[in-house]
Amino acid sequence: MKSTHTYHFNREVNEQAVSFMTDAIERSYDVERIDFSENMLSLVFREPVSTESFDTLVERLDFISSKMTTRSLYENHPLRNAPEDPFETLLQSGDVQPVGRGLFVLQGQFLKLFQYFNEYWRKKALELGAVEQDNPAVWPAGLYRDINYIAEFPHQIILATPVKQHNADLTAMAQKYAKKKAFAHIDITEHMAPSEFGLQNAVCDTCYYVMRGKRAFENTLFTTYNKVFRNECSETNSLDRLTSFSVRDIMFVGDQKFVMLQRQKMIELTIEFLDWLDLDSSIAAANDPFFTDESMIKAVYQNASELKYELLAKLPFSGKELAVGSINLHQDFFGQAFDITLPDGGYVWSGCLGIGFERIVYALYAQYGTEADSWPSHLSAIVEN
Amino acid sequence: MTDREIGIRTILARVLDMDEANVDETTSSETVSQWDSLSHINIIMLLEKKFDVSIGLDDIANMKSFNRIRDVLSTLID
Repeated sequence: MKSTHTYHFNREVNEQAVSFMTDAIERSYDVERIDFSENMLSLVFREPVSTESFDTLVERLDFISSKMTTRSLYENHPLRNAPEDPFETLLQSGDVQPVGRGLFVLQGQFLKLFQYFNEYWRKKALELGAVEQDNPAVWPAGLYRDINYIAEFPHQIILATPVKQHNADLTAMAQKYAKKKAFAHIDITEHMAPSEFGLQNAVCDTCYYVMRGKRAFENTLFTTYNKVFRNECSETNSLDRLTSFSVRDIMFVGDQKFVMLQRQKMIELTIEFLDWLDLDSSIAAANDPFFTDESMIKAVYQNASELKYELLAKLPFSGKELAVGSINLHQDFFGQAFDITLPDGGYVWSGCLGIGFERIVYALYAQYGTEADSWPSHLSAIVEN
Repeated sequence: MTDREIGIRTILARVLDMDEANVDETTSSETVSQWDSLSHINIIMLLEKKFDVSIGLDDIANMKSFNRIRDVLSTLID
């Protein structure tokens, strides 16, 4: 059952506040349409939402958004002609091919840039002495539990589950989903077993999870590359919001002083990277995309304490900014969650840098256009080799 | 209790659906299960209205007990 609501703001609401509020609502409800004009927010939900709960929700979000900081560590806004959205051209060239909702196969020049940037960050990590890791693309149920992920980010979870290992269930599934039975979805309520795993929502968490219970942990850097999965997708099924995307992380774990120093180092390396790309971009304080209930206060704390900085690149065709990476300070969150302690008995601190390759390559095409000949020579050289 | 403490008590009791008599210096998000993320935002909004102050984000995240609320208000008002 649909429900329609409007909310009139008593203050002048800026674009950033609107984006903050609409993102939060879309992550928490099944939204069909969302509009903002002349200080009025209009929403059509695909589920029943009472006027009272809607008003209360928007009032709270408005209150929080009015207080959030936008402190920026870096700004680079070169003047360029704004090309059109490169997505259609990338589809036509075959460099990007749709597989399903928020899923794409990548090849050609797009993949060359992607791989070059991945190698760029891998080398930076190894130069710093990072231990290289490879981790499974799924999280065990215990990891979700230990970091309270389901309570805080239920909207992002995608679980994986096998068919029950009983002949009756195996046979029923085999018959129900044979090729001749056209189907778009698979029912998981009847013959599937409870899930032990979920598709990972970040690449760094398993690094800390496998250290659980460790004592006298020494300062260490790690790096890993993998796929990340989120239950989200762009309205236009484009590259700005993907169900599966690719991330290189550099993680730093140890005492507070070491972690703070490494975070500063990551900020410097990121600035060097963005300068080299000369993208219209910034590094600004941010917060995790929160579910409007349990994690709201965590997002407030994250923003207030500047625990998260996002690397934002402009998409000139829409005027919007796309988060292409982030620098995170977890403090002793994972140390406590997984009981990892330092030689002095205190919990380890941790932090990480993450770069998302689909998005940064998309932003590069969006700013420089799809013709590599017209790019800065050091960038066009990457795809010509 | 001072007038300010009585004001804090009234707000906490209203938002957390408690008897005012049961709200005291030991009241916190650790001791009251209803004190979740949403009620916390409500508490802060009502405190701002009642005491005519603007509470910063860094304080908001930490005002999760009667005593912390009293201390932060004291810093902002006195």
